[in-house]
Amino acid sequence: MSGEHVPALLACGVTFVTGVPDSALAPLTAELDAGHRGAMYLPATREDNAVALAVGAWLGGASPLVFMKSMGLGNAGDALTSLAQVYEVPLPMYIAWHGHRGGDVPHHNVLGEVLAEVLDALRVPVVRHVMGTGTFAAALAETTTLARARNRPAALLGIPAHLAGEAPHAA
Amino acid sequence: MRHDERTTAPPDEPRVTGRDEPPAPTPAGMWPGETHGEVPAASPVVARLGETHGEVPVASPVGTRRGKTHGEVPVAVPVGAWRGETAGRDEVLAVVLQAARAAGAAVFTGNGDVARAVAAVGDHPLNFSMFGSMGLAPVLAAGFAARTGRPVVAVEGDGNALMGLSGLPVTAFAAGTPFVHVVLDNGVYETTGGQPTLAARVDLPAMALAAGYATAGRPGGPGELRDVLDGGLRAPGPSFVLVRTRLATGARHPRVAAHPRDIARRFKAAAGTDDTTTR
Repeated sequence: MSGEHVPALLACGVTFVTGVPDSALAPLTAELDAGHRGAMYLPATREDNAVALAVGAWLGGASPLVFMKSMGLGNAGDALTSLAQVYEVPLPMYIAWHGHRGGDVPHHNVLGEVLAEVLDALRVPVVRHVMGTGTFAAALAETTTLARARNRPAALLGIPAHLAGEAPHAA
Repeated sequence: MRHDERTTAPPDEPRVTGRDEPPAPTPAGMWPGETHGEVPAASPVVARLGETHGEVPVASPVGTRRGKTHGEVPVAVPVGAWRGETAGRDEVLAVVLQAARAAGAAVFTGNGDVARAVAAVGDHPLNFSMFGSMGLAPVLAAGFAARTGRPVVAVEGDGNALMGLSGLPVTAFAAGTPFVHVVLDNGVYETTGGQPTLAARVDLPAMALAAGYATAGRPGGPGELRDVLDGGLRAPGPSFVLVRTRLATGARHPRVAAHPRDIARRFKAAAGTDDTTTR
């Protein structure tokens, strides 16, 4: 589904994107790097920097989105909770779910197996989709709507197709 | 095009004078177990800390500012040179806030006593107090700058700056706008009780330049600081400014009482950016 990401972002009214690249997110960053880098897309060095940059852009009137791989959630934790949550920022996040259901390498599985639970504990609502199945636009629309209705972060978990297995939507 | 990647290397020399003063040397062997909770004698900043030992010092050279009306920036700013001396935090902030207000700049503060001091010295709707997220104030400010192009000041302590080092390249890339990043370096984590930071061993302005900042330096007095701010808030940036400050004396400024949500709302209303994102 190459080329689906930026049109979906624009359709959702997203005007500012930042994050840290990831293999599973390569199609998204390829689209952003091709023509949007330095404009609506500013790369970050760490996931907490990405959240802070996005919150700053929101203070400037932007409608931001942050992307990261699941392991980046640890880096993002303080910014997500003490900045995006308490300042009530409508912040959709697109998170590539490595280690989904433990089907990945060990250092991905530890967080991957409990990712949805961790986000739930942080009071971040979760939407899921399987990457590469043409479902990004609809899933993103649901996520941005959630974030904006609550004025809080909301996460779209992108499950890499090879980890989706037979029951991709199982918790 | 203002966020395009730089094609030229940062200048070798900062435009700001005063960089010929090296950071105060920290004696080798200060960190191993031998010091073990004891204050190393050779560090002037820390030595003073040892005297107060968790106690709130009483005398405040700038105590007249306390109780000022919110929104008002004190006009009288000491003009004494700092070169060879350390500056008072609040007097530096008075200079910073005056320059910011004159330029119509938004001011983002790192967490800790700096946020309290900025609110006390010159509260303003275009001040954004960041309570947690230590080290992220400049990047937060850079996001605002990138989106709006408006002049911005980010001010934080050395503990915040050290925690936020990975943000320097992000700020350098995002904030090619009028942007001044001010670090008040008192050498300690003052908010948590005065534990020494590693700042004395680190050349923060050099790191900022290496990360892509347009300028960096150590102004040697209020006049130089004012010049740097006035210039940096009217030219492409970001600019980095380090000011050595002495430990604050007198009672701590009060905690910023407003809920973060209301700080964000007040800020967006003042910036005119409050009706573009919700729903």
